[in-house]
Amino acid sequence: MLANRYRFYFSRDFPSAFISHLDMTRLFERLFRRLDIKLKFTQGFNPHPKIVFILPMPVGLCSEEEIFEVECEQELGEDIIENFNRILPEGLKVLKVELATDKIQVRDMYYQCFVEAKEEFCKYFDEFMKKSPTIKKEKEGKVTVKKIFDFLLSYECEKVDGDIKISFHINVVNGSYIKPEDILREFSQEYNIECRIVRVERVKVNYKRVI
Amino acid sequence: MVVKDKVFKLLYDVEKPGRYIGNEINMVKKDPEKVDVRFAFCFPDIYEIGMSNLGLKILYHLLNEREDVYCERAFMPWVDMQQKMQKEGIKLFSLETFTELYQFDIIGFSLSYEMSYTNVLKMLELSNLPLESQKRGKGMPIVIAGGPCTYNPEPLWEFVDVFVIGEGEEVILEIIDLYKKYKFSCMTKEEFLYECAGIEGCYVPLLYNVEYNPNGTIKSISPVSENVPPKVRKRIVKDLDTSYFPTKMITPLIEVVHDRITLEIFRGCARGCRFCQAGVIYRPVRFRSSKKVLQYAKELVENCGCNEISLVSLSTSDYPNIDELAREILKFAENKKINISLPSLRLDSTSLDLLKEVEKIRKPTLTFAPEAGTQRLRDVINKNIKEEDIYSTVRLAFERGFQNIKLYFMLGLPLEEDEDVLGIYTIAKNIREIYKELKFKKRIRITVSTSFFVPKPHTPFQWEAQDSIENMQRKMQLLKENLKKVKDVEYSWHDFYLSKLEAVLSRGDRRLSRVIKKAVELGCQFDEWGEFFDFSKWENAFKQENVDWRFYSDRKRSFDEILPWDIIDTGVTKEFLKKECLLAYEAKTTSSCFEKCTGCGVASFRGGICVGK
Repeated sequence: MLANRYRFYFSRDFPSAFISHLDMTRLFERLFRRLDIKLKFTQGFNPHPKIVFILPMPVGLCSEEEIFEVECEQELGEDIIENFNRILPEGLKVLKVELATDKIQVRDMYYQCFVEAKEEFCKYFDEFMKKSPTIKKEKEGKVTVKKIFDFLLSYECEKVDGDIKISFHINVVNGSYIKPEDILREFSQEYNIECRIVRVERVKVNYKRVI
Repeated sequence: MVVKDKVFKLLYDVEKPGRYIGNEINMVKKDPEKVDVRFAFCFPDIYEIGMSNLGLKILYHLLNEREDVYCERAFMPWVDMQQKMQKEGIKLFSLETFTELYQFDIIGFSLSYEMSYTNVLKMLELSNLPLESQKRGKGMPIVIAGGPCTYNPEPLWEFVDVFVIGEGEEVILEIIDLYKKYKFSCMTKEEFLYECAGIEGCYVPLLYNVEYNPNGTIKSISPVSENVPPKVRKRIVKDLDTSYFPTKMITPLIEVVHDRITLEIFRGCARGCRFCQAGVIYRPVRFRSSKKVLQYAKELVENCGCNEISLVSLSTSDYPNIDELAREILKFAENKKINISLPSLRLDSTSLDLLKEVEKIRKPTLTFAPEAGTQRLRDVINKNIKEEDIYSTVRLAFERGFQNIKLYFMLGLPLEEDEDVLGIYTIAKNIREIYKELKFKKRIRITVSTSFFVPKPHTPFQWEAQDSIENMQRKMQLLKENLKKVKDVEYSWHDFYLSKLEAVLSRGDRRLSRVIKKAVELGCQFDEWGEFFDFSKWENAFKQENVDWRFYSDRKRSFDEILPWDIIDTGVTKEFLKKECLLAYEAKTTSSCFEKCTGCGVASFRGGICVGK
């Protein structure tokens, strides 16, 4: 049987923003099962449904619009959005569902981070950013260093109602990108400034369609 | 700022924030203003452990069936979260409405493991509530506790107002009714507790006095007044088909330890292993009809969407026609990609075929629990597993492609000789030989695990001494040295000191409540977590409270000694336990309840399979 690949657009906010990427996949698998929708599964000992998030979401990330694609062994009815939104936990909402005939890739994305920090946060942050900083990450003994401005197109730091709001415009280069949380962590370590993240939001993602 | 907002500000800085957000599928939402009783169900361990507990889910939904009650949940926050909460002045809160626990009417703890006792106190402390029952007046929450550990409630006697002994489905509703009477009248807390003691299955420790002999043993346990029953009889539900079982079960958003639907197919065990407490306290055996099980399975899948159903009980193979039931479930489960798991299955050729058919597991693992290394010792403990059966099953399993064999044993059982310890090595060696004979090329793994015997209240071995730490160490070494000689065998053993503390707490008396409190002061919590357990802190606590822990663990007790838990009546008589203990000394076995009635006394409950007898 020909499998149908569907593209689900959804938003995520508190409290569901604290679900990990793996748990998101499991959650949607369960919801599909509850709605009695047959998904296409991988073969082998441990079959998995073919649900792919275009951009994996780190724990804590809120987003206006995200996408996952899923292969179904049946056609979805028009009531699918309504049915999903009836049973989704608070914070998750399906916005749009379409049949995926093409492939999409991420081009660039906009973030907003809200942090609790001292008054002069922005001053020091600007100073830090002027030094063409890098992000060092250690994974299984291997250290990778990324230059922030290889990925960062622009940023802005401002004070909004007691909190600091930092906006980032991040480019995806060869499928790789940097996370705003990592920039903030790098900064707070180097400057020894305590900054408590209270919200990270992906405001917009631009995609390019490929055939 | 409301508690919820304060909590959410901490979540970017803690491990696994998903533990603290609630919001799960089938979580019950109510208006707290519109109920009479607010009930906080507390599990003294982290979310992932607590949410794997079936008792929690049954009682949570049962209580919420009532319009006048809102039952919410609270778990023990991990240490990183505890520190952040304290810094921000946030007290322990519920996951449904982020209400701090001191605002609840009743706080109910689930006690499934002695090692969580310090966490119980810690949770009260994190709620800013006085630990001692006597210091909590009217207007403060009533603290109740249930679960298997309440069969010896004494170590926590000072802290808990009311212990629920046995199955809670009915008692808890009676307590709620009484609580309403208390809350909406000028009834005093003392009067409330007196009336509670009148509910069958409720133990109110403050209403009993304990006196001691000069040698430290108990001289008497007596109620403070005539109206208080001299013994507290456990409660059971007689019929599982008519008793409550939730099918719209709360389903976590994050991965928990047992991440699946648990469906209880029967209660109790007919086998009568002499070390096993569950086998005694959950008697009599009561089956849920296969019609009900099937119906629940379907509803649970519809409401939870999980990819696995686990059919749970103490001994799955004893369910009549388990094959048929599992295959019936498989019929609708298979095309929804749902696995069926059958834990605690007795392994033989038929069950192997069944396993192969229903359990579509990644790496097939076979688990055996012979518990002891020789037939003599298995007869002592009344564990009805024959060595030949293990070998024949293992051979079949290898032929069917199973590559992992797990073997569970206990060290330090009463009457154990070194020969019995070496018997474990022999079994592992013979299994490896069988594999060699079959000439397969694939790698296999044989895992041998040993725990240490912990004498438990209400079992035929309740009077036995536990091995000393030195003896435990010696036996473990002996086994380890020998198992090294066998290829493909991995050996793991349970922490000596943890087993020791478990033995102390499970057979403790009232004098331990001070020790537990001291241990918490010294920083003990999460004792069952290897990274936190620190026996030296406990030793210090015992020392400061002038209590010798060896008195509770390493001492053999005489049959006529008054035991701290004699106040609790499980239905199984002390005479029966004594008879079983004496049979163990002669290595004589006792048949299962299915073959003939063993006269344990629980038939007085007139439930389950005891009825036709």
